Amino acid sequence: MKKIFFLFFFHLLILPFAFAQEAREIVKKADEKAKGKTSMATITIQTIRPGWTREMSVKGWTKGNDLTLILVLAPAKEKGVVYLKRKKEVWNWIPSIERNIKMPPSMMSQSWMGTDFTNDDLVKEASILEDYNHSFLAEVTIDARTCYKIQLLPKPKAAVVWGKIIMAIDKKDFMMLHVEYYDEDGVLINTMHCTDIKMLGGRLLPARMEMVPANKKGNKTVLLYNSLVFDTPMDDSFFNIQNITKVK
Amino acid sequence: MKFYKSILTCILCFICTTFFAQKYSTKTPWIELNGYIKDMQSTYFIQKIDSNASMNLIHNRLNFKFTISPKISGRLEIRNRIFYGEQVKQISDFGKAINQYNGILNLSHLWINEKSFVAHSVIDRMLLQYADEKWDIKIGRQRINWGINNIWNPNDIFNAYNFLDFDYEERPGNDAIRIQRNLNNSSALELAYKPGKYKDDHTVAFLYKINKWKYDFQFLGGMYQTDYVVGGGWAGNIKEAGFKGELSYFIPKRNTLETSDTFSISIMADQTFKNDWYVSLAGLYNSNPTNAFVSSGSFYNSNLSAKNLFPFRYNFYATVLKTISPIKSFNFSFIYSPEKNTVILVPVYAWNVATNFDLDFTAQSFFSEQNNTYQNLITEIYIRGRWSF
Repeated sequence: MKKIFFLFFFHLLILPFAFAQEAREIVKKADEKAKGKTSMATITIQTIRPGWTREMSVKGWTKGNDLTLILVLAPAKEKGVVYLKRKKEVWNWIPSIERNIKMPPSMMSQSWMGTDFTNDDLVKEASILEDYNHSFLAEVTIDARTCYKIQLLPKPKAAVVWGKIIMAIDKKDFMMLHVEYYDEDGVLINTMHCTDIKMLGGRLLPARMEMVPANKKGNKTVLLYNSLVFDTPMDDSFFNIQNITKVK
Repeated sequence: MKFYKSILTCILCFICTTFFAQKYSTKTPWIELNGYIKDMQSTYFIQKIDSNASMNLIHNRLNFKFTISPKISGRLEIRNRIFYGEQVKQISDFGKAINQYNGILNLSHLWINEKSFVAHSVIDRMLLQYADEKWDIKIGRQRINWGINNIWNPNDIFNAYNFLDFDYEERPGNDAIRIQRNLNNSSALELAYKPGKYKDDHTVAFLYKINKWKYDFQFLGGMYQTDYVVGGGWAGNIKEAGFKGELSYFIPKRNTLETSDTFSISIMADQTFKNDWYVSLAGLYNSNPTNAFVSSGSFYNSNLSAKNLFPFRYNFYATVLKTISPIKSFNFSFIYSPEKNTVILVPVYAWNVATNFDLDFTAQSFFSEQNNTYQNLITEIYIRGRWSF
């Protein structure tokens, strides 16, 4: 009896950790599926505001969670602008003045090129695994797909922008379909919704992502994947500061 | 001249090809063209609003990029400007004043040089580039930008510029050779040589760049015209704020009564705040100031150099930028020097009216103590439209 009680107690203790582990694994699986070991994508970004819209197209390369390079293809004025992220450092190459600017960390929480994405969203997604604790909430259905609902709370000392993230991940195909971003006070700030699920780079993934800020009516940013290639071998030197001026 | 004409003919022939190539090819076309057309109306006031003069500037830039092979490419960039109006008339020999370059090749031409109408073209980039994973070699007219800070760059020994000349963001080029070698993923060595027309006109220097402890560091040394130069700079952060700096020390090659060592250092910090506010602060110290100040700095190729970035010993700069919306921003810059309490105020309102069309309003107002009174020397207002392609 004592033994059973002891084992039961032990299981109770370990259970939350086991579930946390599993929730994290699911987020990791979805994250890895969307990123691959390396990825190369062309993306159209639409910034929608009441009264006007702007469109931008970019080419992006990623390797693991630490290396990202983004080249702006359009509009004409910004063509050739490059963002390079290595671990937590970010550089911005501006071809018209031929200068490479190291960005201050405070700029990370700002809007990226006027969109509803922050610089942080763009380059620090990795932290959804390392900087947060993960737990399961009730199951949800998003666009007729059954999803895990997972809550992410930042670890005590993590330097993150969000106070809470709630994401819905497709149970069968491990796609992030719906993500809600909350601030430190628990107020909803942004909602991301993903649709247009199709084969991209040999994987079933949503090709359209919409980011909608909660408190700004009529504002929206839409990301459209035009092409996506996974796991092409890329050398780390591709992501060095010297290459920022040469990439095309 | 003949050379210039043949280049222009080539360009005109290729323009059509480029558009065709860009439309129907998904690969990098072997020739690409981009640029802009700007129209800028400017008016200045000297103290009283009724003593003013205006000028219009039509400004076109053509940037051609040639991809000859995956490793070899070329660039040809042309700046065409047409000035007309009262202001042109007021500056004696305006055409000649803007048509200056003391490099080896003469790649500019004054098409029309009348009293109040000037048309001018200059090729400010014309280079061949070889680039592979390790090497990056550029020969020809180019901009060698070794600066780190946003306003004053003591390390910018090849292409120092006047930040008040805001309508020339590309900055002039230099006829030079630049060789860059990547040592590993976080460091590189660079060598640049700019031959001069005269004996004391050469500049040759090396630059070593390294990324360590989340900072970018650089060190440079070489010969800068009549001086030896050593210097360095850094870009990093203190907590959330960016923290950058540059310094250069110039030692005359020959000691005479008129020469002395010059030390120039510039430090800046910048940070973004909630609700899209951005603040940047900078300071410049120059041990050997000229104290000569031309208030309307915009249209002259003033004698600015890395040794003499601003006329005074102590110079301070502050800018506040508010991004009103992704397409509208307001920026206010304040420049101050204790020398005659010189102040320059520069408000800018920028608006991206439509994709590829920008409109901005800029003012530059200069204040200083003159003849024992503190006064506004000149205020210049600019309205500028830009269509990019």
